This record gives sequence, C-alpha cells and structure tokens, in this order.
Amino acid sequence: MKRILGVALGVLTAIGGFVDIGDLVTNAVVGARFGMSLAWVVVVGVVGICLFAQMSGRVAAVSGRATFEVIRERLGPRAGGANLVASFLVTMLTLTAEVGGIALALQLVSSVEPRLWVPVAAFAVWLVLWRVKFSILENVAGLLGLALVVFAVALFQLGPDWGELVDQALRPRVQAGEAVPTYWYYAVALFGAAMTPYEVFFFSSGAREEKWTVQDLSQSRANVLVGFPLGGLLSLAIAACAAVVFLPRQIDVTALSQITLPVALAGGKIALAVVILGIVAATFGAALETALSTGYTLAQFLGWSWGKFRRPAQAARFHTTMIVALVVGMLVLLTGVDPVKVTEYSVVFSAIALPLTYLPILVVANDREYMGAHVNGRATNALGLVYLVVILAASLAAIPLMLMTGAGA
Amino acid sequence: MLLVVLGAALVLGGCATPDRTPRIVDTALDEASSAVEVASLVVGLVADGRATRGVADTALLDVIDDVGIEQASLAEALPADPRAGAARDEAARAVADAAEALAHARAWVAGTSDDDATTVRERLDAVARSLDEAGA
Repeated sequence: MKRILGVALGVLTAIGGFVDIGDLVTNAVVGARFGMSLAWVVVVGVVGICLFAQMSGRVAAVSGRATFEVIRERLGPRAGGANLVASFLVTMLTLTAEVGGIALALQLVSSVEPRLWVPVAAFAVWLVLWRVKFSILENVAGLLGLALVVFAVALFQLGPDWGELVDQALRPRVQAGEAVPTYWYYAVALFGAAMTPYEVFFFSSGAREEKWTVQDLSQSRANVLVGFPLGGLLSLAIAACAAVVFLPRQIDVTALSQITLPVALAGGKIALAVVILGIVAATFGAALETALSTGYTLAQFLGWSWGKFRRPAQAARFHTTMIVALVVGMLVLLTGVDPVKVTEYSVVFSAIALPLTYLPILVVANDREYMGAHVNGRATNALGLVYLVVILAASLAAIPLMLMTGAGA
Repeated sequence: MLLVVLGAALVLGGCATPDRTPRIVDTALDEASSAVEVASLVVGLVADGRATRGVADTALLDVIDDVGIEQASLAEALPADPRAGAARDEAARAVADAAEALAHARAWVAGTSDDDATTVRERLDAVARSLDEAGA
C-alpha cells in the first residue's frame, strides 16, 4: 500500500510539476496564433522528455552519477566545460523567467507592480531551498501545480467545437496571415518548452537526492511515463483554451494576465483563483527546480559536495551557487525586462542547448560498463537516435528561424 | 578598406534600408486591435462578475503598455514618401484613440468612471472599427 501511494504521489507530482512558465506562455501564444496546429510538437516534446528523463534517471540510479558528473567523465574538462557554460546560462535564463513568472502571478492577486514582487519571490525561493527538505519541496509544489487542471475543466466548460479542434490538431496548417518560418519558429519554441534541460538535471540529481537504486527504477518509470504525458495534456489544454477564446478574436498573447482570461470566462472568479494558485505553484516549483539545477550542474562538474540531503554547511559552494543565481536573476528582472520575453527566449535557447546534455546521456545509457544489465534496449536506442536527429535539427534551426522571423514577431 | 567601412556604415545607418513604415503600421494596427479585443473581453468579464478587479486591471495595464510601444514605433517611423506618411498618420490617430479607449476601460474597471459597461464596450467597438478601417 505504501508503495502504491508512493507511485501515485510521484505521478501526481510529475503531472503538477510538468508545466512551468515556458509551457504556460508558449502554449497560450501558440494556441492564440495557430490554434491546435502545433499540438503535434507537444506530443513529440513529451515523448522526448519521457525518453530523456527516463534514461538520465536510470543512469543516476544504476551508476550513482547525476547528469553533469557523467558529462564531465565522458567529455573531459574542456568539452564538458563548454557544455557546462551553455547549460548553466540556459538554466539561469529559465530561472529568471520563473522568478518573473511568480512576480507576474502575484501581481494578478495584488495589483502591485511585479518589480516589487521580484525580490520577495527570489527571497521566498531561497528560503524554501535553505529550510525545506527536498521531498517536501518537490511534492508540495508538484501537488499545488495540479491546480492547473482547471485549464482542462475550463476547456470543457467553454463548449468548443471539438471537431474543429481535432481537425486543427490532426491536419496542421499555417494560419492565414502567418508566415511558414514563424510556424516553425514556434514549433522549435514549443519543443524547447517541453524538453527543458533543467528538468533532466533536476530529475537525475533528484534520483541521487532520494538515493534511488535499481529497485526504484519501476517507480521512476511510472513517474515519467504516466506523469509527463498527463502533464503534456495540461499543456494542450492551455493551448486549446487560447485557440477557443483568442484565435477567433485575433488576440495576440503578450502577457501572463491574458492566459487566465479563458479560465475566467469559463468558470468565473473561483476558477480564476484556482488558476492563479496553479500558476504561482507551477512557477514557484520550477524556480526551485531551476535554482537547484544551477547548483547541481556547477557542483557536479567541479566535484563539489552537493545536495539538499546535506546540511548547507556541508555543501556551502552548492548553496552559494544557488544564492548567486537567484540574485543575478533578480537583478536582471529589476532592470525592467519583460519576464514574458525572457520566457520566450529561454524556451528557444533550451532547444539550442539540448543536444549538449542529451548526447552524453544517450551514450552512457548505452555503455555496459556503466549500466550493466540496465543498458538501453534496442527499441529505446532506436527512439533515442531518432530523437537525437530531431533535437539536432531543432537546435540548428533555432537561431536562423529566430533571425528570419524577428523572434516570432 | 575605407570603401568597405563606408559601405557598411551606409547599410547599417539605414541609407540603404527599404522603407519599413508599412510593416510598422500593420504591426501597430494588429497589436492595437488585439489590445482592444482583450479590453472588450475583460470589460465583459467584469460586467458579468466573472473576473476580479485585480486581474482585470492587470490585463488592461498590460495591453495599455503594448499599445504605448506601438505608438512609439509609429512616432519613430520615417516614411519614404507622402503616401506612406499619410498611412502612418491615420494609423497613429487610430492607435491613439485605442489607447484612450483602453484608459477609459481601465477607469471603468477601477470604478472611477460614471459610464456603464455597455457604453465602455460600445466605445471599444467603435475604436476596433476605426483600426480595421485604418488597416484596410
């Protein structure tokens, strides 16, 4: 019974923790501009993150090494160092976007300028990282993030033309007035939002935090293979709400406040309160994960003592890294930069940086010396290679598409 | 070497750049139309008691910011000929009217306007029509 509850909790946490500011913003922007025509990208992204997280979790559980320990070992200090710089910067950008997302969500409750909320949000994230146990912060944020299920409920209440939505999803086409490169730019952005590198750093390091062993692999698999696809359904619900309410009115989503309007239209003030709670939980949870990921990546690469399972004094440089990352993110936001724009860039740069971490994990998951009997099977390998091609294509196309489209303008 | 530098300076300085005014005008009108639609939706939600004043105010403030950016873009645009200039001026007037209607909608949401929801929405609808005409 305890084991079943553990699996259920893991799955629920994975669902609630799947959506972050990148998913919220990108899915709403895409739904408003392209309807459900890019739903296929969410499916491709969810399968990809399942594959990637499942491999990195298995590597961590079997070899006892988290992602950046593996990268350092396999690539050496020079290539690994370049990898670290790129991954760290993308994670910093994502952390900045998440803290900005918390501030924007708190503005919805208080009408107080988001820049005043930024230091409060950053301090709250640090306090939780400093004081709260790993399992509690992971589970509470994930479970509260489940409030975003209100998007799915709202979609039903809006009473959409389901045939039209399914048709848009199954027969993707570029909307009138939109350019083909813009469609592909948002395809890359949506892919980057679903397959954010920090999710994998957090997942594999979390395996070490919770001291997973080979016996825990089935639970890890259930978390990933059930939780992430259900989380992906939430992403689709966000896009569908935007497609139903914004697309016919030709509304461009430019702010977090707009993302809540379809929910208010469907469910009134109570649904609005639930969705704001969900957004705060999702962005706060993702801010915790990204802040931890900055500490994880640097500490694992440089061989420092790391982990929430250690007291802060025993992992001082790990905690200092997180504090510095939070302060830098806070200072960037205090310049007045638009958190939604930061989010839009962070998902595209996530797609650009993805091959750097994906490839070493794919290689190690195939290495019998590390993995023994738990090496990748043929089907996983075939899928892994297909995704390597997809990830490389998205990574290489991202910058040219960004330049051609003026970042999707 | 000097010729290369001068050539680059001319290109980067905008002397060889095609007139971007039509695109700026289209973008400004699209963004302003989108902002007015958001405001119309928000006013309807508040009138029906489906949105809190905090969310409504934030949503309106966000679109007012968006329209402000477009107003600045239009003001900064340098049309290449009088026809483009006239189109820019018409768009600037329509976008300025949109900004005013949005500010009025925000005042209504805050409870500092004597108008009722219908009047506020009618004004937004009129502005939406003007924006359509300016873009036609």
